[in-house]
Amino acid sequence: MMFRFNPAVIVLCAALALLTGLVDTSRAAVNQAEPASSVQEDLVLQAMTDELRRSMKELRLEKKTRPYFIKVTCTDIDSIKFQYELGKRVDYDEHSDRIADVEVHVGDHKFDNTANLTTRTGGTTSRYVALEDNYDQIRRNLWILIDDAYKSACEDLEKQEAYRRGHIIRNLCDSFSLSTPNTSIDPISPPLKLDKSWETRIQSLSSVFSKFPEIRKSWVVLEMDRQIFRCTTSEGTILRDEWSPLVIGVTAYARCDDGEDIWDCDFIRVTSSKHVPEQEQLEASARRLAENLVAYTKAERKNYYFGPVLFQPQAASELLQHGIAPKLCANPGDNLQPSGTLLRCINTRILPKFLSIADDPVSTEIRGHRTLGTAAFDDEGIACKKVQLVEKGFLKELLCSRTPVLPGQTSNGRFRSGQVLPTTLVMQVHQPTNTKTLEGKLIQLAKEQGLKEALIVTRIEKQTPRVLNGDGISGRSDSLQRYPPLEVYSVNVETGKRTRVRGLLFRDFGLPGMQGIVAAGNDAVPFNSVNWAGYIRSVVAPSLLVNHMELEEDAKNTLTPYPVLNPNFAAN
Amino acid sequence: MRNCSIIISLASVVCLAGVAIGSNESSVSSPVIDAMKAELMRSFTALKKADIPAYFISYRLYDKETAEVVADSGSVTRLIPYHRQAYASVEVRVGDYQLDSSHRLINDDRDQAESTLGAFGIIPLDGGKPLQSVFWLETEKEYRVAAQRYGKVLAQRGLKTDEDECADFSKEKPYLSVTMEAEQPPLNLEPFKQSAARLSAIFNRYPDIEQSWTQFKLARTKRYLVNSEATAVNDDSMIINFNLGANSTAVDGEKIDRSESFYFTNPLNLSSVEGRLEQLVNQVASSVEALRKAPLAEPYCGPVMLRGPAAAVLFHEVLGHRLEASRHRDNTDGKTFAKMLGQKILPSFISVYDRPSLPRIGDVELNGHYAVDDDGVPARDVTLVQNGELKNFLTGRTPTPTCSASNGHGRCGDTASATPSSRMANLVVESSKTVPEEQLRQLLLAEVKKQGKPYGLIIEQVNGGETNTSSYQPQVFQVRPGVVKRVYADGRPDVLIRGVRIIGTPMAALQHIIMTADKVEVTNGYCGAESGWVAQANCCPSVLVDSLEIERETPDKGIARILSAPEKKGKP
Repeated sequence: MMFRFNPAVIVLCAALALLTGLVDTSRAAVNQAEPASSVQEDLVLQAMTDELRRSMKELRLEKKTRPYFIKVTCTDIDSIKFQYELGKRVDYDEHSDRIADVEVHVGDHKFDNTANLTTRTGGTTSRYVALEDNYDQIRRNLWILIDDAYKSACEDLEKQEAYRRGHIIRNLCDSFSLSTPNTSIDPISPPLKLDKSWETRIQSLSSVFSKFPEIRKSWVVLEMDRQIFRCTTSEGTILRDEWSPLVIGVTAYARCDDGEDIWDCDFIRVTSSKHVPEQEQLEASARRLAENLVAYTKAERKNYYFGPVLFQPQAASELLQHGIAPKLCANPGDNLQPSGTLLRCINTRILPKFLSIADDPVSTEIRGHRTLGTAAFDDEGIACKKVQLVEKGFLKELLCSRTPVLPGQTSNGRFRSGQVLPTTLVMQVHQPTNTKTLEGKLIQLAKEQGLKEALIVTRIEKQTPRVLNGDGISGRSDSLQRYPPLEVYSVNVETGKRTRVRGLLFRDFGLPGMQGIVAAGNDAVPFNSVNWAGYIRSVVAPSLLVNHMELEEDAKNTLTPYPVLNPNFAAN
Repeated sequence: MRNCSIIISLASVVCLAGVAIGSNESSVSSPVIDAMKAELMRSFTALKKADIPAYFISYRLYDKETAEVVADSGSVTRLIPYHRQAYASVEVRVGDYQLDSSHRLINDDRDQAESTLGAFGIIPLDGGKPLQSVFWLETEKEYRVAAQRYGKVLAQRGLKTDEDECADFSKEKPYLSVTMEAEQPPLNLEPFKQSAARLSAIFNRYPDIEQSWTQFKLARTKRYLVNSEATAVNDDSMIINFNLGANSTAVDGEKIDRSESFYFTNPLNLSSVEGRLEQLVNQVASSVEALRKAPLAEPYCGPVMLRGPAAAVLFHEVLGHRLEASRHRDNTDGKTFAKMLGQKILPSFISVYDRPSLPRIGDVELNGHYAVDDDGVPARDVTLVQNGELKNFLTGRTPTPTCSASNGHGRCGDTASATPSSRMANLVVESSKTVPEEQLRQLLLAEVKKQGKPYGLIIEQVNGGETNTSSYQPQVFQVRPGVVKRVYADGRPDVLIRGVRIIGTPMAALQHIIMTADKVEVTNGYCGAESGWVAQANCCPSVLVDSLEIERETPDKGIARILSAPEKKGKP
């Protein structure tokens, strides 16, 4: 929700002189003059700010401390979604919501109610509020939400303190990091309206699969959203951010002769309908998806491989996304529980010296290709900054939120949908190798290891846009093991002949695997994907050659033949 | 409230399974029914010849159009102008009517679906091959599950003694009721938006109410059923559900929560029911305000008068669920009345019926009116208790030792996962020992004096109830009243009390009714049980009970709001 694709907005990163830790930053900041164009003209922001200000000033239970930080957000969502299957509409949904949410911190930033040492009190922190800008209704609901959240926060603080008194806590960090306020007001566009021609286009796109008898089921979804995110904090942050994404998702299923079910999905996600490719391109892309799926069903089944693997650019991007990126994201609580994040590896070498990785929320294009991970602020209202995560193989920094996991850590603005997520991850190569040479090296490595064949992976995962009936994959639990590679070729080391193979699963790609990257190409292109919450991330990586990888058989049982043929293609 | 405009009953025609499928006895055809029949015919023809043959298949399809608006304090807070989705449900039985794949197992956990494809719940709406394709995929999944389960059933034969030996599935005559599918006008939410906002603004007049809401849900469902016995049914229903709720905090911090519902079927009747809805909002609002100041209930056992809606919930929970016969096949069920046919279970002046044929009582439409159940069996009115004596049970197609055939009460929710089981429709309680409502209160006071109690209770409204029919836990029920008054023997004014819960055991509770009022009141609602949520009505007069036990509801306690409500600035 905090992604902005049109950065033509007022960004006033007010460099307020916050005397960190010495003054009551929250109240000092909220009393700053607000930009006239924002709060006074936006009744929703006005209600949010007024109730936040009143709460900071007056909310206090007897014998308890006042809140030291409050955040109020309000998200408007207008959504239209429909789905077609082989030219027939199967689903239509349209809705409008406005959801207010509050966060209250009690204690101080060194130790507060969010310390997470022991279970916290549940409770509602969000509620639907008036779709029309009804100041009184919105403010009244915020009054109740903040009241409830403050009472829970007071109880939580005492629970956390009681736990701390009775335990030796290892690696305890501050509960919350302070921030300078940000102000940014996006203009608001007219309400969402569906151009009827979209129905025809999606209907036609869904009909592409009627020419593929091997496809057991397929569907095409279009989802248009307009989201307006408003955020105010007691530090003085005031944000209004709008984005209007359009997603077209195409899914198809097939079954191999041995009963293995396989599905694939492609999606196009754009920031404006004018960026949607021409219909011919869309249909060609759907046909490719079907052809690729059919090719998979005919691929040779493998049961084991240990040896060198060449990941071509899309697969390398996915390797970076699922095998490496989760280790670079420091989520709240990682300091207290081992989590796989490379917290203890700062300033040590985790990759070969010829590789660096940055997360760049500002980049919009790489080598003439659009990147979509652009972000201005995260859900905590923190400005997203470019972060150089790995410098010539050495880990320098981690992506993080306002909940520090290392001493003195401050947020770099990556907290979205309850977790730390990258924006546009870019792998930089200092000594690139051209594609031909990389393939030669792959064969050479395989021969040295006594193998008759080597593997080239061109694509690992299916796309999973959230519009597709839930198969949500949390970025937090990303792991290469979850993804059976979708497009893998075995290359004969003597003849160079490529054969499509299937049925293999990756073992996890840990630190030794990362160290095992022996060469990288000069062919990086952006690969855009979307996480379970709808956030787009772009990953840019070149071909990567890994000297040793283990892939084992996907031993899941498959189905015996079924005596009834697909009615779409069977003669009645 | 299903409307079957053309009904051609084949009750007197003997059709062999499979023979009638595909033929069209009716001059009316429906593209959806035609596609379902075609796929059922194709699948059944193949699967009855399979190694493990299927002997019965049924297909159900629910095509639901919904629209929804929620309002709070005069403003709309949530808007779903239109949503359309259809669900397919497939039942495949392997074995024969006497012993089949549905037979209860020792460890009766349903196997995971054999197909890895998951459930394709949503489906194309206008017939043809794409619709067939959905049923084809679902049939495969259900057939695999049934075949595997049947293997387990056979394996367990002789290992367990069935308490009551009877067939697993009843043979029913095929039923054909196919209506012409007329073009329906689109759901128009506009008048409901205005009404919801207007009605929600009434709560603004009650300053002690903290949160409140009104909601209109419009649902139009087209239902289609076909099975391998030649049954084919389609019908449609419309229901408009008005819900409202309000909450506050009592002076001692206890949360006060009240909600109510109202149902009607014709959207054009909105203006004629608005007065009634306004009355309902005012009733709920004033009861919440009054309950804030009401004293807490004390544990009590003595005379109680239950107004019609409260008595209706008591009969529903205590008696109705225990007369749903499909539970009697479950060895874990308490089977309270299973072997009491012909015995007195109620006072002799009480009779109880279930009448799905009844569309309304007076000018109140009944939620549980339908012509054909979800098994495709015509609904029949059933005399359950006559003059206190148990006469019959509610049955679907699962036979019990006392009921070998369905009486058209096989019902399920309109979702993909629900399977029909015996459920109540319109439960009607009649009495031959009646007095006018006012006189019943006098009789309550007389009973209070007779028992030497300081006060009796009048239960005006209920929030809901629950009952446990499983033998794992005590056979108890509980009803949660919303509005309860103490009525004093010494003539003091009535006192509203809060925090009341009625508890009891089923055999004893209803024996204590000593008198009823002369007027039946209707309580419409939805009932949730194993087979999902079904529309249902309870019709009951007020009753006087000489002894009922009341306990304190588990308190939901907090503390009062810290700050006063924000000052209103008026709508922009």
